[in-house]
Amino acid sequence: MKFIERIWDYKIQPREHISIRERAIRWLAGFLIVMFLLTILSRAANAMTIPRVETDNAAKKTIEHTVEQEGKIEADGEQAVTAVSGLKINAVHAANGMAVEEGTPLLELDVNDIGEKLKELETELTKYELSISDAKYNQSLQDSERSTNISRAQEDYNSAAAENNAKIDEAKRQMDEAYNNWQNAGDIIDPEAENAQDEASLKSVYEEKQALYNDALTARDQALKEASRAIEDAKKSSSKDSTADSTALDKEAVADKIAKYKELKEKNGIITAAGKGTVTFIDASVVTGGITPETSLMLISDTGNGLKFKATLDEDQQKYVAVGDKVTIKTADNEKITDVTVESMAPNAENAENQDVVVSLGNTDKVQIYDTATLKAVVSSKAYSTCIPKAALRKGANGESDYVFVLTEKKSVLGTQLVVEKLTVTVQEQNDSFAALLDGEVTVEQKLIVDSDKEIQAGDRVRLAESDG
Amino acid sequence: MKRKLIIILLMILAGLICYPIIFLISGSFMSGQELQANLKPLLTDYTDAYIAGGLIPIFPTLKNYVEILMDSPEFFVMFWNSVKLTVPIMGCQLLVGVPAAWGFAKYEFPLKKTIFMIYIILMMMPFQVTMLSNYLILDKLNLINTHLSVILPAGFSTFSVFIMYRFFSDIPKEIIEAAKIDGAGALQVFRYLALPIGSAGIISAMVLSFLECWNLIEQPMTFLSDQSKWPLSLYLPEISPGTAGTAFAASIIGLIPAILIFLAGQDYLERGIMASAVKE
Repeated sequence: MKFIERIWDYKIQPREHISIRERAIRWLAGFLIVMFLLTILSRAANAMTIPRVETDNAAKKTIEHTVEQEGKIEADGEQAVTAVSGLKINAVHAANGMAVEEGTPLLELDVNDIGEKLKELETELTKYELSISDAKYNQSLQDSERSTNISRAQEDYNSAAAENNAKIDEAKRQMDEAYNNWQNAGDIIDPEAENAQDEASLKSVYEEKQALYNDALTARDQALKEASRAIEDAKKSSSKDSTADSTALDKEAVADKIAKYKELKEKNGIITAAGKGTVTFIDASVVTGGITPETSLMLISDTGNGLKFKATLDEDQQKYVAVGDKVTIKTADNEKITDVTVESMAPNAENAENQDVVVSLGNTDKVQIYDTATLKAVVSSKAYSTCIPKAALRKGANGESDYVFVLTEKKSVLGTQLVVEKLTVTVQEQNDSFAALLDGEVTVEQKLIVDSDKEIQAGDRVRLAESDG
Repeated sequence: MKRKLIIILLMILAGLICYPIIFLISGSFMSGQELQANLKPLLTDYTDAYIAGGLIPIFPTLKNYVEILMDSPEFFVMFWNSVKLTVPIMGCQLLVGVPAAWGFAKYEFPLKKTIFMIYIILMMMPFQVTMLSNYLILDKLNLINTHLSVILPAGFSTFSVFIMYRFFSDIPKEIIEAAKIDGAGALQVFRYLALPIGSAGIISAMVLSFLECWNLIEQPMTFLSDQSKWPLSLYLPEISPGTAGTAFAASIIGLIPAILIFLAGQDYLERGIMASAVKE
């Protein structure tokens, strides 16, 4: 309460009289102090906002292109293990990654099952043989019937020809006789003789005989035509029957199967490895109690011919690796296989822009099949006089040229300042660390900005990071 | 009535004369956008229009002051450069000018009149006349592009000697003689008589000298090639729509010490100007 009363009764004390002169001097002193504090503050703010950069210089260098790509060790080839499909599997001895030698048992098939299947196949074979002999018999019957028909038709033709020729001969003879009679009638002196026939009737007789002769000719042509058609018909074979041939093929297939079954049976149903290698793949159906599939049972990589390194190179890497190049393969244990040769390069199946590279390693015990290893290829360019650190190179946006930022000294109110200058450059060649520029674009004295703690632009004031001195 | 008309006319004239200062103060509180609109004819090639200036900012802002005081270290460099030039010049004038003025006022020596005439002639000469000779001498002395190149010529300025001479001349001879009779030597007379009695003159000379030094333009521009040595009077950022506000604020801040010094020495200054107006 007292406190409130005190506030209520508070009266502003009249200020001690200070002349304008003194006040102005005090204000001036205060003003200078404030300016001094603000100077420090603005400097501090400036120091905080100004980007700190690290620099490096251009130098004469060769650009080394190092291609490093991880890949896998594989065998030189692969063999498929196959067996007759549909057989019961009694036991599977092989496992993925298992190293095998020639003759190593891979899996065991049921011998009884093989025996049964063999019996069935032999029955089938007998059936095929029977059906083949039936088909052959039927064919021979058809063939003999055909030849009989042909010979009969030929006989018909011959008899028709003989018969008609006889008729023609008779008709011709009669026609000739009539003609002679008609011609001789003109020579008789006594036209009134009793037995003499008149010329007109003789002529008509002749014409009648001539017509008969012509009819006989036509009849013969017709008869011969029909007879020859009958021969042609008889010659036409009956429908071709390939039953025997196809059955023979089926029989052959069954015979092959039988041979395989017999072979399996002789081996007591055990399938063995054909050569040295490693089991790389086992079909999912190949399990104890399963049935052999139609496809291969398993794949065995052939390590007998040595190992290969396989990797996929992208477009950039491809430029520096070629078939025949000597490269180094680094294993996961940092062991190096040097001076190995790139054997082949082929487009990748999934992405044609990439290339699958194969390096032949020969017989080596530094790596095992399916190990991961790294290919290393180093290609050196010619010496370039202006090589800059890659960190200094900046990509121009929207297709603009590449550029670098260099430090230039600029005199300003704040003294000699370091200012960012933008220089457009042309990259001749580059790797992950360095880029070679056209001669003269950047001098060795120029300080190239390689790092900055803030985003910088041309014209920005910057200062060197502590480490640069 | 007539008197009122005269007052109105004078007020209009005073308003016209004060308008630039008022616009400067008002502009320093305007936003960039507003200034841009007002100064558009000045900043573009638009010659048909005049600068339109509202005296009261529509949206007053302290942004310009914050920018100049917090975000422009170069402003402070120049401010302290101004201080670095002004203080030694004034010190030099005190050290050299005061005894010189006392000497001219109270001592008789050969060629006194001639030397004083040379002083006056030198005072009358504009800087441009002596610029080349100054430059050559400073160059010989290897002082170009140093603050001394501005300090030394200004430190030996004749103007302050002339003003102080007027004040010292007014000190009656009798007082000096009385002091001498009491056994005071020349230095004691100077220390205990001349300085206290002539203090008004000294201060007014110093105020005028401060105003001159604070606003030096030609000398630093000619003798200082290094921008980092330039004083605040050369803080002329390229005025663009974006920097007009900060330029206004910088001008206002630069004005403050001059006003304070003027206020501190106002009484003496009036006497000093009067003294300089009296004919020899």
